[in-house]
Amino acid sequence: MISDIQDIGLQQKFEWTNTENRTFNFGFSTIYRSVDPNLINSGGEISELVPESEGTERTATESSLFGEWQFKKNQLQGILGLRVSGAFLENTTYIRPEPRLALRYSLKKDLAIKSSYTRMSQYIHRVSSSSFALPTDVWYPVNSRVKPQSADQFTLGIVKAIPESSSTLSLEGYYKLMNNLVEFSEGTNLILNNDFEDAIIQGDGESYGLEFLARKETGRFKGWVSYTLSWTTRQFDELNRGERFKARYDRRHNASLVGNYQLSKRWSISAVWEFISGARFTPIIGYYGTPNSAGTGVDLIPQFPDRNSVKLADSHRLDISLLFKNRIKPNQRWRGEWQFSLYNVYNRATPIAIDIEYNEAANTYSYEQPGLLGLLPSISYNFTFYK
Amino acid sequence: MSKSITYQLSSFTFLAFSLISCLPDPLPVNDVPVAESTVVVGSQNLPDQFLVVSLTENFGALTAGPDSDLEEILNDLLITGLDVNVEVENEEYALNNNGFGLYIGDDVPEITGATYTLNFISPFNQRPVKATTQLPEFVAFDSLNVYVNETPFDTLISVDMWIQDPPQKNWYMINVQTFNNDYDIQDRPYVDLLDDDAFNGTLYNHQFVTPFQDYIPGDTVLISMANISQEYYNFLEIRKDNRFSLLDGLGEPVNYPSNVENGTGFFHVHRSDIRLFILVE
Repeated sequence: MISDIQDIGLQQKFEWTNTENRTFNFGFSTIYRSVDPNLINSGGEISELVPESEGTERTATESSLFGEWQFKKNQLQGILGLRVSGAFLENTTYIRPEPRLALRYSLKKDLAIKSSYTRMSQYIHRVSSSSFALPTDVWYPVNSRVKPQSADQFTLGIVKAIPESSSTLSLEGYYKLMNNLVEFSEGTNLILNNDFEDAIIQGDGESYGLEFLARKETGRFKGWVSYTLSWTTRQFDELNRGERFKARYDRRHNASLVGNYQLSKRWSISAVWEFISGARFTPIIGYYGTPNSAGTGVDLIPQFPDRNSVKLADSHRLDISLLFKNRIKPNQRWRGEWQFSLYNVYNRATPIAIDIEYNEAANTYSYEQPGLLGLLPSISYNFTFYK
Repeated sequence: MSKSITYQLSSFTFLAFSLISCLPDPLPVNDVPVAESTVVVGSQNLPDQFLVVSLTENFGALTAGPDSDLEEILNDLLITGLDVNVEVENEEYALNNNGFGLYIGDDVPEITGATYTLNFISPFNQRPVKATTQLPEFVAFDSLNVYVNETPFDTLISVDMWIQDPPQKNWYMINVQTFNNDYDIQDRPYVDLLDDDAFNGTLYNHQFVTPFQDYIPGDTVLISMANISQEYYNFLEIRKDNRFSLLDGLGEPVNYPSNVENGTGFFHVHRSDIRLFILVE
């Protein structure tokens, strides 16, 4: 099953600077989008059950007008903007205003507070299976039943510059309210299913958290440390008995350390260590047997816990790479770079699901979390061309 | 310096690429909740018994796996020795336990449209278990034909049936179950579900092909049809969506609907029209 998406778009943006402290940006964009969200390639016996299908082509024109005013007065800088977007379908039209405001106020030369509000709308949805992390995502456009997604986001933060070490520190809190998110209804099976469109349901979401970033941008050693503490929930009338539940990607902690050290003019080494709390999952926790509908045997029915109530193991990973720049000969207009990398140096699994595995020796079953992409060495050669 | 480093790097890289791709070891899972023990109600409509109720216990996901002997597991989960009764139009009828988790109602009357209420006490929490359903009107095949359907890949069967749909809203379950020459049951039954939205109160022709079974001459095909409750229809519809999934875990999580209070499973009553065919060349 695949999604076929074709976009033809046009965008024009104008900038008008009135004074040094005032700039206006405005323009328009339009996209003609054609989506076949469910192409089924079936053959043989399966085609008796699931007919080969090119899906129902859905077309929509998405257009927007936008204007933005950037200003600066004393210690205050800001951006005030409005984007009016719309999706024009055969029988339905959606028009959504998307205001945005970003302010930054300098308390001192090296200290500022900032705040923003943004509303965003989206007219094509990515619907993911919550049962596994393999590429089963389907892109699905809005129609008269499936409405556009929208999100309102508020942020408030503080930024501190440390000139003596060419560093900046920032701390920002955010709150995001999402409407008309999409999921598949309970029990939907995407395997051999050409009728999943009726299974798409919509609900709301909420996300909030705190982000910290320390960045050093100059010198032989560059890098940053970032940490995000966040919560993300969903509420769908048709899922989890209508009760709010944790989103699949409700990852409480997300931290990364990134460093780059210039060993010499031509050699540099960099390392990235990343930690992410495990994603949420809904494993099978039990079964029950019940007579099948013909009364000729027993059907095993799986039982699940509350949606996304189980957390997969935390994942962390170290990547190291060494960069070697070739010498440039006189009049040479390009430069080559060798990059030697090790991905996931200590070969830790990044879980994608929960499986039940049989231990033959002990005659027992246990839950396991398989992961993809272990230690992966690589070599690459990059060309950079100069004028 | 750079030559030396380049040589060492090349050696290291060669060794690294020589390694078999390192697939990381799976991580253990520690915080998966355990399914709470509960009574599972199932009901059967057999040709000579209008009402048979099965009572079993659910089991944890780590109790068994694809290689387990399902029959042995289910035998250990049968619930016997309970006082079970069904109430129909203010009369209570005791169901007889045959000792294998089956409770049989020999004298339960078949009254179209009547409400049937199952009652007993759960052995797990000593609280009442109750389930209610209604007996829909009996609808028989008006006519039924089964054809061998040769495809380039397999030998399937096509079912061509007519039904006279009664005026009220109806939901139909059609089962196709195959037995071989020795009358052994072959695979799971194929279930076709039909609601009468498009043909309410009319004579209706319905055709379908059963996939995923390779029929051979001599096979016996049992085709049964029953007018069932909407609740049971909804349950089967979700189950049907998952019938081709090799593993239930590949579908979206679902806790199947149940009409059992203080338990799970489904209590339903219906009358089936059952026909048998022997496939010939």
